[in-house]
Amino acid sequence: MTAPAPTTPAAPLPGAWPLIWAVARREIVVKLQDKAFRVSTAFLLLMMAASVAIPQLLEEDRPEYTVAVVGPSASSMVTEAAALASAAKDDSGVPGALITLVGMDDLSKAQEKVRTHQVDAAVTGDPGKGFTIIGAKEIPSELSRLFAQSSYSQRLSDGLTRAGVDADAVNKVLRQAATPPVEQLEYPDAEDESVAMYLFLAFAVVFLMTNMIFGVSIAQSVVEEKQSRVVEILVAAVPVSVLLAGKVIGNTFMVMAQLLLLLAMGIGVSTAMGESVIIDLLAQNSAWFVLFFLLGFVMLACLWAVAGSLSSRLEDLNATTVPMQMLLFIPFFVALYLPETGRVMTVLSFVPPFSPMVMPRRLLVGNAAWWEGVVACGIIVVVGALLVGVAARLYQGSLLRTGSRTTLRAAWSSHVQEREALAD
Amino acid sequence: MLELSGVDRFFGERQVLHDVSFAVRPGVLTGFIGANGAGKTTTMRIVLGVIGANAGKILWDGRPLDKNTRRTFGYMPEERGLYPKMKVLDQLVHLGRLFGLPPSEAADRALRLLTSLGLQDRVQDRLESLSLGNQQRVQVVAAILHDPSALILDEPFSGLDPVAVDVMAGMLRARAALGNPVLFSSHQLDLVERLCDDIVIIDEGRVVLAGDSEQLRRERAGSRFRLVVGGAADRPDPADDADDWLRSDPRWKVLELEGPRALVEILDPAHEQPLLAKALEQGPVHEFTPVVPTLADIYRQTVR
Repeated sequence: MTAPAPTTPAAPLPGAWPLIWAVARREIVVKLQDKAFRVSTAFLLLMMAASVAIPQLLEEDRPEYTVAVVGPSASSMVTEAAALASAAKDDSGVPGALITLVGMDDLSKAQEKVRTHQVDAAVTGDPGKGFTIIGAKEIPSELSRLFAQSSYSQRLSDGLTRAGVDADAVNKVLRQAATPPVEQLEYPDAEDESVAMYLFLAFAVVFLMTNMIFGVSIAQSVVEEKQSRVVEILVAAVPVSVLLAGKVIGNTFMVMAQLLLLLAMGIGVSTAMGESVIIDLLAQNSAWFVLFFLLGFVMLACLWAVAGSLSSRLEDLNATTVPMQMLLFIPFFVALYLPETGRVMTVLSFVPPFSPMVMPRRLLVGNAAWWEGVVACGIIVVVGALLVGVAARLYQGSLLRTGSRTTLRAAWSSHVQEREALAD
Repeated sequence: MLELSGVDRFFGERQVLHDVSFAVRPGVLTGFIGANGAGKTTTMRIVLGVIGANAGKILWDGRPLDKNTRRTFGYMPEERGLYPKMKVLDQLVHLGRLFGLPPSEAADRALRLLTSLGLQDRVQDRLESLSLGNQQRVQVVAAILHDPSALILDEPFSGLDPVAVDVMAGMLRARAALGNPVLFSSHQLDLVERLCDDIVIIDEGRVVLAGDSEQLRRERAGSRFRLVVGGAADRPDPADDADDWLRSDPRWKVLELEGPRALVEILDPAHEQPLLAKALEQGPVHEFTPVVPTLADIYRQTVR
């Protein structure tokens, strides 16, 4: 017993943050190197682009009609209608359509074309005696509205000219009398709400999916460390709370990066497609989305880590993560299917784990004031902080238990004994 | 010096460690021997702070071991433990960060150590793609990467081929030569005997023997004698006779008896000559040798 004491100087213990960052950094790097993660991110981005672009593409499709005309007067009336239709804007009240004219020598041939459905309608007559519109069973509503407008202006112009009014003056007046431009202070309710709900659905699905994907991956990475026993080396080197914090922070970082990418994709595509309603709604609500997403994710992330630490093998993970899936799916369906207004909706919009999904919907549809959003966030923060404390204790109590699955009770009570070892 | 003093540990109602006390001297290898479930792994985990003790102290140079010092220990867990899917160098650098090393220094050291173990071509491979022996080498690098002030290894030799055993042994000796305490557990008693200066034997959670291996063996030498008697034609079955005169005498204990050969332990050094005299009374004595027990002998004797 005479050998000299070792002289190796103790490496300086860095503060907790560099250690937390080191753990978080590994989570991030491993995620970035993970092919499954990259593929799923690309898939989500494509979904986002498609969900913004596809409705727009469908809407862009204007109906096309072919109309037979008999005589120059009818031809000029339909030509005017076609001009109106092709210039029509979404909100002007004039239906948009693409109208092709087919000139006919006589009425019977035109009628034959209508009967055999080679054309959608036929027009004959003149402004003096009036026009006749011939259809098969029915005339497409866009056509009848367009024809009503153009025949009215043609007959008016014709009548006034014959009464001695200068033709140029008549045309000028008629142009001025055309459908007035509409200036909307608010979007019409129906459209607004359907777009808002559509957007909310996108938010809720993204929230649900990314929480599931990242939640399971947090749990998996905990089990992986347990199963490979690397956790023993980790715990010998750093406190358990540092491991937990690093995991949650690293995954939160990745989740938020993914969400921001998705939002950028959504805004980019809708800008490119000129979809003003979605852009405005996104611009107004992105901050809320990001905030509720962040808080909602962090609140549950610690619990996902506990779900992982309760099992010793990947095979057990399904059983221990079922409660977590409940915590996501139940609020998801509640937020989706609950009636728009009502006390239940209002109450649940403040209660975690419902609030991260229910409150964004109320904010998006416009029946919650901004301060209600702030209060809901505050409640999530408080509940989240409590859960982090609970999770840290459970994590500590279950992380080093191997063998079978750990019960919550055992994890909770064994914490005290192990903490002595780790706290000095 | 690393010391354990009066360590108790319960798992639920079951007490798995009873008043475990021993010292791990710096500069030498200490072998930690015991059957499966005797408490070796639990003891090591307590030293590393992976789990807590219900009673007792861990001392470092006479003072209670604190967290900062413990962080400078190197540890190799029994069932190994690294990230299977991470690249060799990446995970060593990661562990280096956790031990407080700057990444560049961690990478330098890891490369140097990996090269010294012949793994320089595998640094960018995933750990799981390496052979078991090579994974073990990476594990060793992980344990000594941060130039630990003490080294604790749980079954470092299990599953190693003879070449890898030599590499590992060289590694441990080198660490000890730096003046660090090195404690490792093993089932391979011959290996421990060959390598270790000190041994600790644990049985059912109690330390039954601890100290300098040579000294312990020598203390037990001088009390045991190998005796070969008879062999003459007129004694067809000398064992029967030997049985009578040997076993009936309370001054010694017969440990083994096979034909004319016997292993006898005298209970007092003064009984050495009387034993020989008595043997000669029975006939010719072909062999009368003091036996230095092997570690395996001592182990079987103390644990039984």
